[in-house]
Amino acid sequence: MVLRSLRVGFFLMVRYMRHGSPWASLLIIAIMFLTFLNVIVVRGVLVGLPVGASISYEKEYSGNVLITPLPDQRHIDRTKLVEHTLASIEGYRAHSARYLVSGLIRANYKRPQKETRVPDQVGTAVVGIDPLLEDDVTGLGDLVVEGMYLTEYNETGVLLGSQLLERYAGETPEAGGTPDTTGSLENVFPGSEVRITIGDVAGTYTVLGIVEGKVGENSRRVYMNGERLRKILGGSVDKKDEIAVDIMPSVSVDRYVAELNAAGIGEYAIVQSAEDSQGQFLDDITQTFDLLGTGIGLIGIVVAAITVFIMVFIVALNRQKQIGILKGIGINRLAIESSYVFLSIFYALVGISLGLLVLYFVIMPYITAHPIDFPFADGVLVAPWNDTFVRSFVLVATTLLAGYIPARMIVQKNTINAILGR
Amino acid sequence: MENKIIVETKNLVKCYNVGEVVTRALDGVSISINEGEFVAIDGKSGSGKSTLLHLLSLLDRSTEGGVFVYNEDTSQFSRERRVAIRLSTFGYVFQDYALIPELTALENVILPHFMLTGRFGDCTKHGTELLERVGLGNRLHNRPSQLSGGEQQRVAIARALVNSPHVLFADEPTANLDSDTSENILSIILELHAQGLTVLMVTHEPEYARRAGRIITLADGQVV
Repeated sequence: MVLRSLRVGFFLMVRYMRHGSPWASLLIIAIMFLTFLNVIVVRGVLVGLPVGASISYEKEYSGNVLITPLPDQRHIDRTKLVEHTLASIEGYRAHSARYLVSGLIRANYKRPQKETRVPDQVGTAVVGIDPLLEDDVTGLGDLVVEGMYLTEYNETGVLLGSQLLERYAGETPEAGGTPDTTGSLENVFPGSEVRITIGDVAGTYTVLGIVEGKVGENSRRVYMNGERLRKILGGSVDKKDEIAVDIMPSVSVDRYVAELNAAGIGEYAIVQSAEDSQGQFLDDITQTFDLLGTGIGLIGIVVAAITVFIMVFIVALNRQKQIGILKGIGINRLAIESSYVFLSIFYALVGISLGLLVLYFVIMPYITAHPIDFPFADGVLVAPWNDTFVRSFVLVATTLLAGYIPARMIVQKNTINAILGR
Repeated sequence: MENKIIVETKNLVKCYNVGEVVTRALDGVSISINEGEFVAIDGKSGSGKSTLLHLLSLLDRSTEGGVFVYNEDTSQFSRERRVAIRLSTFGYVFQDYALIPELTALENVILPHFMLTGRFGDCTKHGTELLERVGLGNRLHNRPSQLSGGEQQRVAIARALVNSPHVLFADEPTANLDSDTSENILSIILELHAQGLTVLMVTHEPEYARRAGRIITLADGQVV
């Protein structure tokens, strides 16, 4: 009997669809479509911000694995051994080992200084790199927005992070203030000369290019040839400060990290996946944005449910007489109610199907090709299939309920009163 | 066989509340309908004819007294069982045809049969035969809005017959029709009765009432 009732309900639903108002149907389908996008895309973009930041961090700075000194050490001990071990583990592709030291960079130092004017200088991190390896691992060369990239033979050229420059950062040293070490440099372009002081050693360098990336570390650093920096420091090639490692895409990062630690690298340095090296902060942001997106999505679902409720209620109310007639000729409640439930499910499924098509064939490819340009990340759209399925299911279930309740309210009415419109 | 009672009422009372005023539409009606009878219920407007038909056909519930179908007191029946009786045992022709506008003539007719059997193919064949029987074999796929009043009423009769009911209830089936069409509808009903169907027809036309085997006259909610 239940199956028979459902079949009759489906029969009625098809007829209602075929002969009902196409505009009302289109309106509800449009609402379901927009609700679906609201539920999936808003949350996807919000979560995509920290995820995009994380991707940028891995792509432009840390590589898949980042190796840093132990907490009580200034440098990575036995860097040569660490580098040799990295390359010996299956899945290794490339790495870039860096020297890292703090320094002071000063521009416009030939300009006559008035007493009231503070020197045009900023404190910064100076990074010594092998230009070819660094470009291979982090694509630093692609981040040069002005000028040219560093070559391995150029010992007097440097790359400046864009946030060190006033025209990018938008801040200038305060006149009459104390010497500025956190502001930015004025009128510095490729070809400009700057003075960099590292410890007691000061040197003059030519700005080769300006580096601008999504990762703060890249945009506030000065890059120079690693061998040059090592000579300035008078240090050993066996004591570097940071190693970014790139592994093959087919290899699990966690497994690679585990193998490095198993090989004893943990005794000389901290080995972390890109994700772990970003700390809990990014996870917390992701969770917060996820919660925010879910909250906004839930509001969307509630609004859609109310809309479907109202639409079905109006439709059922307009068909009150017909519902009475159906009951009068012996069509049971389940059949009548299910016809409206099927109608609601139909609207939801069509809206969601359209949403899925637009999401996976238009929005996703578009955002993948043209990431949303946020200052700290290339915003991506995070919409995994399993999550989309769950949210779609919730939307369908809510719509089902929103269709069922008004239909039941109308069907409950006394049969003869419904027929006679009393 | 002739004397087997299909539907019976005992001291039937139906009251309507309009604000604080209570109106007794039926006041102690006791009648019985035997198998194979053609009974006309007549009376002036407001006499309670339609109310009685609604109660007899289980479309409504009485305030007091009972309606008995095959000697079973229907006041104890669940809502589902009353719907099931309306589906399989009773056929009902409404005064204003009461067809579903989204359905074609054939779909209107087969809907109760589809509900009863769940087999769409059989329903289509059966519905087509019935519509041909009432002279609408060429209007199967027309919607109600594309049919005349007489045609719609014939569709309604075909629908009422689709599950081979034991009793056909007809609530002023000719009320909205011209005299020729009314005569046509009445002849169909008479033919069905001649084939053995029990018919209970409400009418305010004495001429049509006289064509029935028995007349029950109501006045002020009572049988006179």
